[in-house]
Amino acid sequence: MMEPELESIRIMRRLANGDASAIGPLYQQFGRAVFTVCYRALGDRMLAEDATQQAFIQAWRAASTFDLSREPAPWLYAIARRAAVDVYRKERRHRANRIDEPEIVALPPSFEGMWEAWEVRRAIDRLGADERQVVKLTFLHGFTQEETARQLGIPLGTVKSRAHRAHRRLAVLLAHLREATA
Amino acid sequence: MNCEQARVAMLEGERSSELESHLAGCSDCRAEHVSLARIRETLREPSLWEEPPADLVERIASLGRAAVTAPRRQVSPRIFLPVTAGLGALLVAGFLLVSTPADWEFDLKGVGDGATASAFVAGWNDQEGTRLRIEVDGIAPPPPDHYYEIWLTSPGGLHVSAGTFRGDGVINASVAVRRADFPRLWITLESVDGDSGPSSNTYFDTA
Repeated sequence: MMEPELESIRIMRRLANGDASAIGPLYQQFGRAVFTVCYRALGDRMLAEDATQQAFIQAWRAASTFDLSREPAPWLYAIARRAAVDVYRKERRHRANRIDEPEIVALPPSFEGMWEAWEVRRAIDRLGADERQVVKLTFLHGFTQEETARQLGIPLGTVKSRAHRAHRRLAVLLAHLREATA
Repeated sequence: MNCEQARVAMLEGERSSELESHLAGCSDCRAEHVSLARIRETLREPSLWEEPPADLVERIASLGRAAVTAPRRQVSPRIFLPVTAGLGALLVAGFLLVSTPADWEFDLKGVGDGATASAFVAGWNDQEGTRLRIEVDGIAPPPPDHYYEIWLTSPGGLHVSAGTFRGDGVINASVAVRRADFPRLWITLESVDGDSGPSSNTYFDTA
């Protein structure tokens, strides 16, 4: 299987050359991470959907100017952030003109820790489905490994091995974040 | 316990004596303790696990095809109002525009090098002509001897400048023509070359 970085550059090249079918693979690689950034910034699913949509369309339109010697991830991340800010501003103006509705988006988006969230989301998307499920139950729902085993109806030993495999993979995939902050 | 095992253990939140003893003797792993704790916190955030709707990619593909393949507006022939300079608008900071609801507002479409930038326009029709408030975000500062210029253009191709600016921010402008007569609002990059008409380097255009 091709490394995700090489694969994403290949997708960008296709998009830059006007191959509209490349938007699907680009979304498969980055869609969840873009949605995470937008949802985390805006705190509202519908607005996050709008911002994600806007981000991919902007990326598509700007693909021909993308420098193919660079990694697409930081470029797409910057577009996602900007799309979230645009949607936030639009929503704020819309709400300001409708005094009968409470403000949904009250505070400007905060991007503190956002790059980390983007990278963590990309890393969990690269786990196998069974590993991701175990990580989600333990981190998001706070389940113990015994509870996870009961929930999934699988032996405790299987949960332990999946969790260990997932954590080892996450530690490798996110090593650059640790190096950046250590 | 080696470093790799220690890092996995830290990510798992383990607090064993074996890990403590490794950390006591390994400055590299101690240094990573904080960032691994932050990654653990991020993994607990509900927003991280939110899934976009399954049909979002289809919506993007369909909207994107329309947006990308739509014919670009061509720059109109260079017919200029002789009085452009006189009528040309003035950039005036600090208009009290926000207190009155805008008569119209819309997003400008980023074009070319402006494709990833955004611009939102609010406008007020008054007896003098048109007042504008434009929020621009995401464009690069212009090269030396260049500036951005706002244009209003009539269906017949007459251009009126609504002022110039040098980058992101809020631009307040006033122009002595009616938007109804000059419906196209667009922004170009211009060089200091004595040419008073719009260049073909369009950054934003009316969708």
